[in-house]
Amino acid sequence: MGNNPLFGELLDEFVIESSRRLETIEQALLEIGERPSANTAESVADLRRELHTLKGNAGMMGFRGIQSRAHELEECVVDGQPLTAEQTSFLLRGVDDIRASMHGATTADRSGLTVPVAAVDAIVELLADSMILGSRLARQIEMLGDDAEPMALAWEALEKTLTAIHRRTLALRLVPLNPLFASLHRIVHDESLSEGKEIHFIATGGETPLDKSLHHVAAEALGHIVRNAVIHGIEPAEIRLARGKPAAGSIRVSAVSSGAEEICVTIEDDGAGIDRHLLLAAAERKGLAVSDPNDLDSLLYLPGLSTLEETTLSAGRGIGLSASVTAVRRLGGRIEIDNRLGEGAAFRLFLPMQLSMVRVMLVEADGEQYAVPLSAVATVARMAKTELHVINGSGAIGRRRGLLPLLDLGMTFGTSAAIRPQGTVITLAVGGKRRGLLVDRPGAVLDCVVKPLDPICGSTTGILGTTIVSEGRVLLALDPIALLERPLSVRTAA
Amino acid sequence: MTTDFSGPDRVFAFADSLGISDEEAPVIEETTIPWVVFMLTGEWYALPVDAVQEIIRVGEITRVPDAPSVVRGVVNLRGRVLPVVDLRVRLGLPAAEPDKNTRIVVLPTRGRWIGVLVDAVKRIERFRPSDVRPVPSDVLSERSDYFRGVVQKDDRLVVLLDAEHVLLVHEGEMTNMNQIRVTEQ
Repeated sequence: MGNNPLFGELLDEFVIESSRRLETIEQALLEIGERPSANTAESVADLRRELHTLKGNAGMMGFRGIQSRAHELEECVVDGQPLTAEQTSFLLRGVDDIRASMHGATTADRSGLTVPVAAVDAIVELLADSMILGSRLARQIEMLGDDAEPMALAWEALEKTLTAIHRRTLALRLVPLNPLFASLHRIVHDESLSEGKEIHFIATGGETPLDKSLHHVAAEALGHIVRNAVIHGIEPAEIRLARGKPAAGSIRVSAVSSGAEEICVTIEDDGAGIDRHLLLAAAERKGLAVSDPNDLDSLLYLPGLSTLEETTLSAGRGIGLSASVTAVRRLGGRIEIDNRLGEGAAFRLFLPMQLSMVRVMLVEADGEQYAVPLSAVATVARMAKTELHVINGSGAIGRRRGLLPLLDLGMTFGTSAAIRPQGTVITLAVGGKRRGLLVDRPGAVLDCVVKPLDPICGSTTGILGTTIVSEGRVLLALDPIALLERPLSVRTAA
Repeated sequence: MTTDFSGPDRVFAFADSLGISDEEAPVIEETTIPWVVFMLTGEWYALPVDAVQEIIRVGEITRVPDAPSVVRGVVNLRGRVLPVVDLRVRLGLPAAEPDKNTRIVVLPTRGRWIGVLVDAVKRIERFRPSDVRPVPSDVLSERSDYFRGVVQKDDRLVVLLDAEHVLLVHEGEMTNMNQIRVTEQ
């Protein structure tokens, strides 16, 4: 029966339908768990019906394992009786089991044509390569002069087609955030249960699309943030009441497309906020080096830091967030924190909507060329000798809004020993932070694909990855966030 | 020759291009193993042909700031960016100064490709396993686990290397040396 095409179709249909059914069941269970008013005879009867159908379909398709698990779940629900917390947990675990066994059954996950992400990725990569080869071809045609006019026109048309195919192929990878939000909801449910806290989860903007290849990194980072919010952020009910807050805490998750090519996911809780002094004390206890005690971000992302004395299974290990922040940055994203002590904390995760071509500006310092992501470049201006001020070993230049600190690229990467007296200042600006990157001269602006460096190259700070430019040369793409955070002067205050 | 030699077949094509005829090869009795023989600071070394993807000429190597001293930089091989390890530095010899004979031997390892820089590739040579002698223990150190043995050929000594171990960069070697430390402005 396995090779019968009709069976394949039925199987796809079964998986698609059952996945939706499992989602419905999970949502209903989470609702029931959080709002006693939802725990009615009617909703319990609905739940039982869904489980019964799931069991029947699984039996028809010959999935005995799923059939018997669904049977156990159905038996656990008694019509007309509200669910106990134990029953809800048991049912949620069952939903996970069935989902896991279905995962192996087929590759289909939505109606229509289903294609593995890797297949789309392969096409995207080939397209990117052909565009790079194309620009090489264009240069050759250009050198042929006027005689090659028809060739140039033909290439122009082909390039337009290639660009359109590229854009459409990338769009295939855009997937709404809804399933990711559902998994966050689940984390909040499970963690608040084990912490003995009552927490409402409110999600909006789940329809916002994000490149499938970025979902994993987003889920990882957001998972850590909501776990921290439940465990460290939201106070126990008695403390909340004493502070004049409602006994139940709330965690709001929202997503918006914050620009044409960027999405922003906000996680906001109404808990205690992050106490910088607690973090500092914890860092001191563990003997961790703190670069800037006033910089909450760098404190929060210290590897190995946790404010809780005891370590729970899911949070408090303190390694998670720093690792996810690094992963997010490598993909061209960032995390911002809006902390209000006593009132709560808001984490904003910015990610490019699509992992694709990055528009970069080439810069040159001491004969070496690098690529700077254009999204981080605010202005480009020449600097005359007289404009440079040197303060305590660091360079700065006067701007309308005050002194702009300068980072000499050659000094940063070990090709020069002193700040160059003249050159070009590329103003980098990310999330309110500004700094001038001092280089010899700017170069062309082009689109390229940035790939990570091989791990054998070690932990290089300030480098996002590698990119191949049209002549086939390899250039290093700079990491603007790391350059904005890099110490300006190697001299210590002492 | 300006062609690249990719894949095991191309490694043999490279050998052909060096003008080694079949007549020179002795009649094979014992199973012999082919090795890529190359030079480092005037000495002869070899890596197993099985471990070599291809041998390429040195184009432009892009330096990676802050990278470990054994990493010379990165190169483009048909759209793939691969790191280049200076095999001389890896073996504790002075850093290479690339010239027209310098080659990059591409070794696929753990799902990725890494290039190693050698002074010159000489030939593909088959050695009998029984001709391989252990490296004298007094020249070994705890970090020389990349030696597979030595083969005495005429009056030359060829040091056989292990491809996998030669690419394992130890903690201590991860420190970078190519960065100028600036303390005074």
